[in-house]
Amino acid sequence: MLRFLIRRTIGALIILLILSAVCFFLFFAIPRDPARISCGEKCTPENLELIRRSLGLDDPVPVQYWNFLAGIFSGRSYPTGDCPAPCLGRSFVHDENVLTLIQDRFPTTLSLTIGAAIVFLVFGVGAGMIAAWRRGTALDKFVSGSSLVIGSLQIYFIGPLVLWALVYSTGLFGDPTYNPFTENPWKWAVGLILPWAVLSTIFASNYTRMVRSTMIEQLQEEHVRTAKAKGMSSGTVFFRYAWRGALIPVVTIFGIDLGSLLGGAIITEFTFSLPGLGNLSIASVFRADLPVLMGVLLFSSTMIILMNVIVDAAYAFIDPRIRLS
Amino acid sequence: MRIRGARRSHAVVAGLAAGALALSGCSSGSENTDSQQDDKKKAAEQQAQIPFGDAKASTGPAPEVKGAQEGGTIPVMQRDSYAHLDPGQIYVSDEGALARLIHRGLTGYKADFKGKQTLVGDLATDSGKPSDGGRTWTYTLKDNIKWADGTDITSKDVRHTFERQFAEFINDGPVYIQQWLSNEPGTGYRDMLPKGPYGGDHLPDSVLETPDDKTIVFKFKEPKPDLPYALAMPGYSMVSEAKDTQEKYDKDPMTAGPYKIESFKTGKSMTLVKNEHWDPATDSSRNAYPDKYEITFNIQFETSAERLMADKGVNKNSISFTNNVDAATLPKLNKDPDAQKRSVNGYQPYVAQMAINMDRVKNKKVREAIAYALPIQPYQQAFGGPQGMELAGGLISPTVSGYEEGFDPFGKLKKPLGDPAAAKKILEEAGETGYKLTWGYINTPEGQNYSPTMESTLEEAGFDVQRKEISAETYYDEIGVVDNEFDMYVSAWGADWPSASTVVPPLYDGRQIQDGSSNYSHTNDKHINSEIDRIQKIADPAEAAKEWNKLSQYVVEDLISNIPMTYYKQIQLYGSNIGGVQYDDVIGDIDLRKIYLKQ
Amino acid sequence: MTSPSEAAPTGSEPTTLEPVKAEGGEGQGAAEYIGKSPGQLMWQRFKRDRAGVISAYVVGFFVLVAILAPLISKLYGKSPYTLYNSATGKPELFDALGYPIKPNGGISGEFWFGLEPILGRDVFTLLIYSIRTSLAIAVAVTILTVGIGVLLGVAAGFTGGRTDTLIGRFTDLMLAFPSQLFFVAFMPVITALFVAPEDATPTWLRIAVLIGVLAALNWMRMARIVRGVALSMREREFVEAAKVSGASNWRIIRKEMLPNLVTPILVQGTFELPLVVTNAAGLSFLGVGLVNPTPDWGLMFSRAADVSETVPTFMFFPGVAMVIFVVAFNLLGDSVRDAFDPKAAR
Repeated sequence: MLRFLIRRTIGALIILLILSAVCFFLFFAIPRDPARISCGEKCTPENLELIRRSLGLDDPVPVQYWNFLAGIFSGRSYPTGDCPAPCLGRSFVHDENVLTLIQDRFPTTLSLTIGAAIVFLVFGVGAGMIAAWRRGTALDKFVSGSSLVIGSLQIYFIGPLVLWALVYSTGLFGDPTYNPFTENPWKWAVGLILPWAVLSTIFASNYTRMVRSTMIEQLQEEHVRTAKAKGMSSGTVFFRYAWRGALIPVVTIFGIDLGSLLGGAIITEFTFSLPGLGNLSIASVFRADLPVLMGVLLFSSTMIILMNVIVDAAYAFIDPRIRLS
Repeated sequence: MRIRGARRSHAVVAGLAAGALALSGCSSGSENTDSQQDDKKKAAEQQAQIPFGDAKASTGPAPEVKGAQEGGTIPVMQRDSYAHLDPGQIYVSDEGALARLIHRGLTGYKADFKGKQTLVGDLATDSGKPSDGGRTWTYTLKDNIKWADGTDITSKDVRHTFERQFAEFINDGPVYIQQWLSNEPGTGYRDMLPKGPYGGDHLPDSVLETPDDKTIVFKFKEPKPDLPYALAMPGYSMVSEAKDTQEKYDKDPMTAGPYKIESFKTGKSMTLVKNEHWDPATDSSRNAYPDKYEITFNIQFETSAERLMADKGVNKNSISFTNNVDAATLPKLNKDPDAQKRSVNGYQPYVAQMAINMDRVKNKKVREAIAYALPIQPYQQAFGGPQGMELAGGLISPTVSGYEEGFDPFGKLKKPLGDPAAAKKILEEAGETGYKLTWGYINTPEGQNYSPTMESTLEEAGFDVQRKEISAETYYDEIGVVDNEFDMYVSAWGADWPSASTVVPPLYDGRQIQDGSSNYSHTNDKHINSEIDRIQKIADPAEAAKEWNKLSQYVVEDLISNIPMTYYKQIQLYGSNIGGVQYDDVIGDIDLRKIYLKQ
Repeated sequence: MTSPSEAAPTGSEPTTLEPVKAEGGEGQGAAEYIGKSPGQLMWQRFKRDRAGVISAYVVGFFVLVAILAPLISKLYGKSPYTLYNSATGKPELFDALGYPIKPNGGISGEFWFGLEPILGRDVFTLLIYSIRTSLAIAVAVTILTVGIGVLLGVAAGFTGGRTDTLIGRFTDLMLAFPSQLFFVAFMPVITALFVAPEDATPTWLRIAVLIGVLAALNWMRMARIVRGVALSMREREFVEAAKVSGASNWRIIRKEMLPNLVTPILVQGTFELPLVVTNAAGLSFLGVGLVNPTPDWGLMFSRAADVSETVPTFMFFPGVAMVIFVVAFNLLGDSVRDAFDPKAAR
């Protein structure tokens, strides 16, 4: 286990290193000058020169990249303030360290992810099991069909619709907001319930389909059939044996989904005005705030890689036959 | 889920602009929103100068708002986070509106209950005592004025405030006073005090004198009758010498206004609480009834408009400082008389114009053809139609003295969709049919909505239009480069105070052309340059206003370097529990000084 | 259901995605199917699947509309590029705010689906051309995805060893990209690399970049699946046999492996295509894909999201079309998979 973790960590670090290099050099292919952006509206040539110097943009790109990497371990110092290690740089637009911004936004994204994950796991997997359990019946057809339709709705399509129908015109729900869980768990849940519901729609149907088909497959497996032949009730068979087989594919895509969600659900956060990583990243894209964008990209990648490692480790627990390699 | 295009990012350059005189009864002026006639009438009332107030007008406290209640927390919805809190860096209207609550300057505007504005002393006892024909201005500080930490504000702080404007790191704020003090155009003023006050150097007494703790004397080489207006810009609000942390001050400034910053999470939220060291008796313009403002950022215009229209739950207590009702929500608002009662509207000082790059499009006939062909109505409609903007004939806004109604040399008001046939004829006569016209347009939803129609109409007239999108956040940087690759682009500019002296020289003076200057059309015309020098010496404001207008008409009619498109308007909503609301045409937004929360 | 490999020398080995699997019920039905090619078998099974057939018709309808869009709009007499709210159009149809005067978004005998607010384009032609653009992009991306995926997957699975490791690591690297964010951040950069500053970015270039970027971040799943299949097949008897009989690697890949890969590729492809459509639409929605006046599904949504409360029809038509399209395509994907691989559960 330890060797596995060490190996995967090294692998992850290498991937992150390559990724950051690719991003860094691509960013400097951007035809617009980052110094101009922090230069503001009344950018004179002198101001521009000054800013370029203070941001270190007059160094060659490889040197800048090296400074960026060194900053992660030793911290950096900017005219507007210090950036202690691990320093992911400082925003061009706001006088704020990138890591501070990420730390500030991550709780929102995490809350959104956890809640949505619970919703789509419960509803997605539940619907899939019901459909498999009553396979071929009208119930199965209804559940599978509606999950398919719901899954093909896009967030930018139902998000505004839900807001209009449930918030603005009827007032059944309050405005979606983020309140820290630690302050008031009830407010936290109430403020996020609509975003959770909307965000889960695109994920849930995947789970329904997959759970349904793997469950049905499992029911035909020998050990399940043996158990049945031994006279166990079909309910026992279903809930005791068959669902285990469905676990591995569920864990696999759950890991992928979590990894991508933890990097920020851009469209959902934007639609519901939630201050998460997705909103941070989209704002930094449009303001060409490269250090922040770079930071969020790296953070998102780390989340994806981290979830992959966790998923691989989880396999060993679910199915002891799988050995970590 | 794009970041909704910045209505205000078109206007940011213009900065905090001074509007003009009262819109009568503007607190609920929307019963007649569709009526152009009504707006015209209002506009006509706006073209006089804002008067200077004496010591009596400058003495606090501000008159009580009828029925006002103290206390309460007002949630505020804002789209953009604040990039600057250091007064020296503040120039855009979003930050200007905030500065009204947290910062104080030597002078400021005071509005009566009809919205009529007077320029009064804020920290100073009056709007200033001129002598030596307007070359010397003397200000005396009020008693009992304190920073938020309880220390006194003295003339040392005032001196420090102006000296630090010369330092290199102050690069986003206004430059009028620095230029006047040094008598240098452009950025030449920095040579006077290259390190600001931080190297131990100071401005000589022959320029800025502080004989005692209460007195400040400005000494200019030329008469500067507009100084009280300039001092009222939020960019000239006071900075504490003791607490000045230079670059870091931008994040955590010392404040003197009725509110102080309790917390600020960049791009997320900000909380303002009452500053207990602010003494209402020293402030003639701010009532500051609510205890607390809780600002949330990242709320798009359509979101704040929808929430305020719905007026449910906490939104009954909510406002937005500067979010306006977006173009797509306006048709819905027009069908909702209840929500209309909770709206304020009026002009903003910005004028949108198509700036033709004179370095590239040298043939006047070509420019004339553009002027005839260019449709201006799509631009207006992209921003909400007649409620969002008014079609423009000239370059002087209705909020600025000198505005002339009916000036329309190319018949744009009669044919707001353009006259491609007339343009085609001109282009053919000039032998320039098929002229390749590279047009840089701002990549916002609005830009996407007006640019195709403009392109197709210009193509109809015989141009070969190359439509290039420019990212919204860097738009003004890119068109501000003198050596840019575009033949034309839209720019919007608003007066810094209601005088065309803050419009014509910055936009059309050929000697100002440099990277980042606001002369986007690169107009460099002998007649204009010499006229600017002449008019700036005219002492009578009314006479000067007339002359500025004549010169601006020369730009449109004879030079054809800038084609007027629209005058900006503003429409905002507020929750039903908010009282004391009126429109503030100086900042072009809701007046934050008088509002209160009904409890 | 596995037929003996000698009986199908062209390599008709149906493969499931799991390399090792208990083969229950082998040979039971083999007798009835003798004499039919796997393609025929698949077709037979597919025809029996009613939902599959219906969705195939729906998908076919969309494809037809996309291909025939110019013809349809010619018969209908309008073009999606005509801006009716302009000097040369019919400005009298619009109010001062630029919205169609007639109710329901200006639906009339002349404009079947109404008119777009402000720009004043005909919604019907706009929609069919949008479908055309989106489908063209999606098909191109899917083909590229399959191409790259198969190339790398086969290379990895067939050669094994160091190449396999290298490609595997590369795939991991690409999978670690937060793709949505990456699109948004780099679409403008990549576009700008190709265009002279004085010229407008041509629409074909925008589309080409869109296709390229989408394909570059989409091939990984395909490659992994193909690798898995190739890996399992490398050890199979018929491949061994071919090797022993001295066939070149290229020949083995072409003659023995590729035919076996058709099933997983087709199945994965049908699932991928609607995803690409919605992804590309999402990009235009975010403002980094195509720009007006190019007809595009995503752009229609982004505009519709703004005006939907005033002009609901503008959201209704593209929205319903999108839902029908995605549902039909997914059902078709299910049916295709079932038909190829009857063991997979229904």
